[in-house]
Amino acid sequence: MACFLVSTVEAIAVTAAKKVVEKKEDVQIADEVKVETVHHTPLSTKLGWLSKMLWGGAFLLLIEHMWHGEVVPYFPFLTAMSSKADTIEMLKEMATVGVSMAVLVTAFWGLICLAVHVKESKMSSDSTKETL
Amino acid sequence: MCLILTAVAAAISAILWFTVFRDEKYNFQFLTLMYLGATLMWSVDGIFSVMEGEGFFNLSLDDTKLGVLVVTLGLALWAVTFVVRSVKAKRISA
Repeated sequence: MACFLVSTVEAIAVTAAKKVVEKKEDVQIADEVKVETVHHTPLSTKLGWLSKMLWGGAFLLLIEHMWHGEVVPYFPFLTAMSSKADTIEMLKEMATVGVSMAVLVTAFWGLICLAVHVKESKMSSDSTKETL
Repeated sequence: MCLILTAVAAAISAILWFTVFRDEKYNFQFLTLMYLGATLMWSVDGIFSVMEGEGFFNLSLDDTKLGVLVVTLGLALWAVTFVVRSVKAKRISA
């Protein structure tokens, strides 16, 4: 019905957070003259991955909902908004399916970040050993 | 079928990203993550369908058509972002 809206709201929040983090990282780079031998993926890049998954997924789900006639190009845009019973059903679906979708995508992103962190830590310890 | 087609598209684009199109200018990361996000979301839809007594996969012709449309429009969106990024990069270098 409108489960993709939950992911869309999260995508907006993540995009905003990414912008804030990017600004902070730019300030840090300007302040610190630091020579790093091992590259660490910045948080803003990681947030960018989540944002792409959420925006992209929500966009493709929007197409699916348009295909099924659940989203229409005229007011109120969601056919479930036409009656009170349908609206309650839609909100229930958003709270269950929509939230589960957002949680799964975020959890999967967490796993990707963990894998990247482990790989980078390993590379960092390897390069420290080589220096010694 | 829509879920299967999107998952296949995610796998193919990930393979292409890690092997052929590693350069950031191709923006294959966006294509892969978009398909991956949609695959995860439709997997949740599938789980809820099973809980309601339906099948995890919808193998109907209608859903196959939808899958083809979704993959095509995903490619189209990636193509638009690729062109916009290329034009921006050219303007900066000029």
